[in-house]
Amino acid sequence: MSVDYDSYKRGIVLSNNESFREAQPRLMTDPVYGARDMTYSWLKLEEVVVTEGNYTDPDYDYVAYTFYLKNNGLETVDIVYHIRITDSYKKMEDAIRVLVIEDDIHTIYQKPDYNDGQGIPVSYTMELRKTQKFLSDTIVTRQHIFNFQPGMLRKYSVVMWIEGTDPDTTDDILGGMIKLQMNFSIVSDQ
Amino acid sequence: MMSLRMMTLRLTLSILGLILYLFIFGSVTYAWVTMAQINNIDNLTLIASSGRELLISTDDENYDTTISLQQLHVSNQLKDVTTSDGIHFTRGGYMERGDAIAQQDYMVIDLYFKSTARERDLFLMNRTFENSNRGTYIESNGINFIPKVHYTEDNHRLVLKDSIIRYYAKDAVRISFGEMDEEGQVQQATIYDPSENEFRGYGKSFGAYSYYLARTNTPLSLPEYTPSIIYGLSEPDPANPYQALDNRSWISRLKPTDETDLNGKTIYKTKIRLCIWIEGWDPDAIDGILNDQLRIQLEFKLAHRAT
Repeated sequence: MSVDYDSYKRGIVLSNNESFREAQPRLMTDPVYGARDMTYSWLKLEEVVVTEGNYTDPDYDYVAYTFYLKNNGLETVDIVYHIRITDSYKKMEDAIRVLVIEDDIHTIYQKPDYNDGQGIPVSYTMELRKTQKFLSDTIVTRQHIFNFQPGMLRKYSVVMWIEGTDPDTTDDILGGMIKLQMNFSIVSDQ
Repeated sequence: MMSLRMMTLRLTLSILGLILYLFIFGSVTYAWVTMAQINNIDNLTLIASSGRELLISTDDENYDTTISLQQLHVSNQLKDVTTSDGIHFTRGGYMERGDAIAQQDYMVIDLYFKSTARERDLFLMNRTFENSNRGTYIESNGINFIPKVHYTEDNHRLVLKDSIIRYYAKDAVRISFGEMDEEGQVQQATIYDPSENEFRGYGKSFGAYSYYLARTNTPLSLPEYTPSIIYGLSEPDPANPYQALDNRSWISRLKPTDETDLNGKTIYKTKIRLCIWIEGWDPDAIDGILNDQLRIQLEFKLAHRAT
């Protein structure tokens, strides 16, 4: 059995809390059932970002999860992360929005609209007009973190909801399901 | 021959080797847990509603999202009746003929609703004037009416004898709705005029009333009391379809029960009574419209009451 010496020097870890009391390489979020369409302005983002782990909104149904990434190795590393659709049913990916808050920078991702609104002009609010489009049918986004130094933390909140103003949000998605995975990995030197 | 000292040393080295070996494995395992180079946030899962948050039933046992007239076992032949409260009915208006009989002269429909949604207030909503599978709409084919005498219509328009004028039963239909109490009684009901045309609403001096006077030469006063009638349904907030902007067509608030759904959510219920009739004091309730054919679709919706 060989031991990769890099394992001692290079490592990242996740935690629901800033103190990294329960650091883990894999965090599991709570699924949200029976979600109905809503819109960006209903999200309680102030509460999402101050809640460790899952945030449950008493008024609306959406996935909201806040966690931290830490370099717990000895070396400065570059990190790439991506969000991938691992499972989808009834074309839920057409209707959802994914908001990533990375150290207070908000970015909303969506699949390009397929339905043209059947002649009704789609009028998104300002925030929803600034979305970035999914990279492919299964990849929501891929981003880099450069020069992530030992001991450094980065805070993330991931929010996912069914956007009611999206023309692709029709009754066809009733009973649908979507599952995402967010993956962080250290970029290899090679 | 190996000395005892040598054997002791070898044994010692062997134990050290064993300890070191374990230490390496222990470190590797430890590193795997806390020094991973790949980390995941897993199970970001959103499951959409099935669209069955609000269910309707006639017997509190068999619930579905829709219900058809065939399931209601109600009269499909309406007669002209009138009411001042949407609860008690008499035949007429112009010709008083005693109490109206439910399911013979007008339609009475008792309905149960149940839900696990956050919104607890039941509304009749979404008036549409197009035939579609969504929304509240009342349509009828209309009938051609040929008057036997001159009479006046709205805006003092004279309608000549033997002319042809078209009337629609849908313009004379009324719907009342109210919550039923534990004794199965409705204490208060709301009357809705689905034509949403107050100008041709209750107790007008033109149309059917004018024709009745001209045809019978019988003095008849218009009703002194005008019931409280709504001429539009509650509107949802355009920015939030689960929030009503007004409470005009609010029907009932669902109450918690001991029942739960498969996810352990409390089921809320209510029972309401709907009455549908041809209003005898409507200017469109003219001879012949009772032969018109009506198509009625009602859409109920849960929303937060306007405050």
